[in-house]
Amino acid sequence: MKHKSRAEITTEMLTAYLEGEVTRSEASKIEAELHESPGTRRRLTSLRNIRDALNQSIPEFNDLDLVPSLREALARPAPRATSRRAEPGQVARWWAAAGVILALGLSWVYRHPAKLFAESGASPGAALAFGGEEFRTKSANSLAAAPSRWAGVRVFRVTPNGKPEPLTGPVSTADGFLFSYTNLGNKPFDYLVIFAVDVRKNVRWFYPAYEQPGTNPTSIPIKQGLADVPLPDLIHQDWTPGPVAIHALFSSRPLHVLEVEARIEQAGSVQATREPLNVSDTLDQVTTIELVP
Amino acid sequence: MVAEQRSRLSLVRPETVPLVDEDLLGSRTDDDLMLLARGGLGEAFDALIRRHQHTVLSVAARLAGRNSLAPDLAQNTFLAIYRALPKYQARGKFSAYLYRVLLNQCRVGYRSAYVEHNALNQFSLLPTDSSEAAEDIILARERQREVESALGCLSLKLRQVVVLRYSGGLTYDEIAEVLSVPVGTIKRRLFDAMAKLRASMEGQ
Repeated sequence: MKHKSRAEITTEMLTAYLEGEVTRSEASKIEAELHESPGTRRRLTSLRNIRDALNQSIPEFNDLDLVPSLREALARPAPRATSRRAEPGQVARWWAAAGVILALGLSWVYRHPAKLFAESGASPGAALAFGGEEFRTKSANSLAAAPSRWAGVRVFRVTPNGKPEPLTGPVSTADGFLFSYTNLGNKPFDYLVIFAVDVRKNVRWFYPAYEQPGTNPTSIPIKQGLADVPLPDLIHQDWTPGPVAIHALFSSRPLHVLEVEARIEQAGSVQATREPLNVSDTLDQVTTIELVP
Repeated sequence: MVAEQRSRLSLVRPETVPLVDEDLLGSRTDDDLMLLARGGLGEAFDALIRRHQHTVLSVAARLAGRNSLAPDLAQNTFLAIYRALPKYQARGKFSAYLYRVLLNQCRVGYRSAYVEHNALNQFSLLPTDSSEAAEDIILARERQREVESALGCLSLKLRQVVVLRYSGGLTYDEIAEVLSVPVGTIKRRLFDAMAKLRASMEGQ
């Protein structure tokens, strides 16, 4: 019985065991055999050593950084295909063959339209399917699912004599603010407003500029498909110390300053102004900071 | 609600502002980095290369069977990926995509006699510091050399699976996608490859 059991534990099975790819009963059988047989244990150790050796990176490459040479290569123009031109007669033959294949395909579709759509799982009115897989789908949903993953602003503080730095702790009322925006995804936005609401519900505008009461400027247009686009102005405000909520409101239509202020008023409490504004078809990213004297 | 008085000063030119935080890039997914790179953020592509380069180099060397070919294969892989950025679809399958491109580069590399010369010309591989050649390093290298020599005895199909699995760290599903074969076939090839590697190393 024991002899028969040993004969069944192949090296392939031991690898499967190492990979966790055996059933519970197979695992029990292998473990019993490992307990009994030094040879099987040795085989398993040997397989584990092979796996571990392949897991190791090759030391020769540990200090190698591909980035500089890759940047250099990218600075050069892309290689062009070598000029192996086909003979004119050969091109004509390719077109003729392609035409025959296309004609055969179309005639088959013409005769069996119902079969084509049934096999693809689509109705005749649905999107075309290729090889049973819809051509248009794959990334669209994941991108549409979380616009906040693909659009947003980064806020930088600038001390009076310092350099811009990301917000990490309390910010001085004397600091200036810089912004950059990212606007990616399959449905990027067209417009952006950036403003802050302080502890007394006062609204401070960054973008668009709103310096003269009685005017009603609109959102700034933004570029699509770009990341970390810096906005050009360093902006200072006459702040009151305390918490401030900075809103970056992305939209597909231009928003007016007074329209946004009306929404802030509707939000109610100061606490509520630290939540994203409820404006349809927009993305409101809120960053709350603490201003100190 | 009325806007407060404020001063607005255009003092800082955009190009002087360090907008890229490398720590933040490090925490992004591969797909995010690809999309940021597509959006024009070169540093995102740098971060992606640095995240994968050592694994890609090891896989390339083991697939090609020669370390000297690996830098050029890896560079061509990343170049091909960069040039295909506009067409990249973020589906959470970057690793599979990366190694599919690498396998294509290997196929080209097998046919190209010049790649080795390019590799040696473009990259200065640092020599090993012999003063620090500790015994365990030597032993580990010896074991690796034995395994890599045994890899050469495997057919390309088996070698691809075992290298992608253990050196590339890919899952069965990812390897199946790279090679366009069913997962069951991948498992069979892996188990077969390991048995053959062991037999080869034991001199059976």
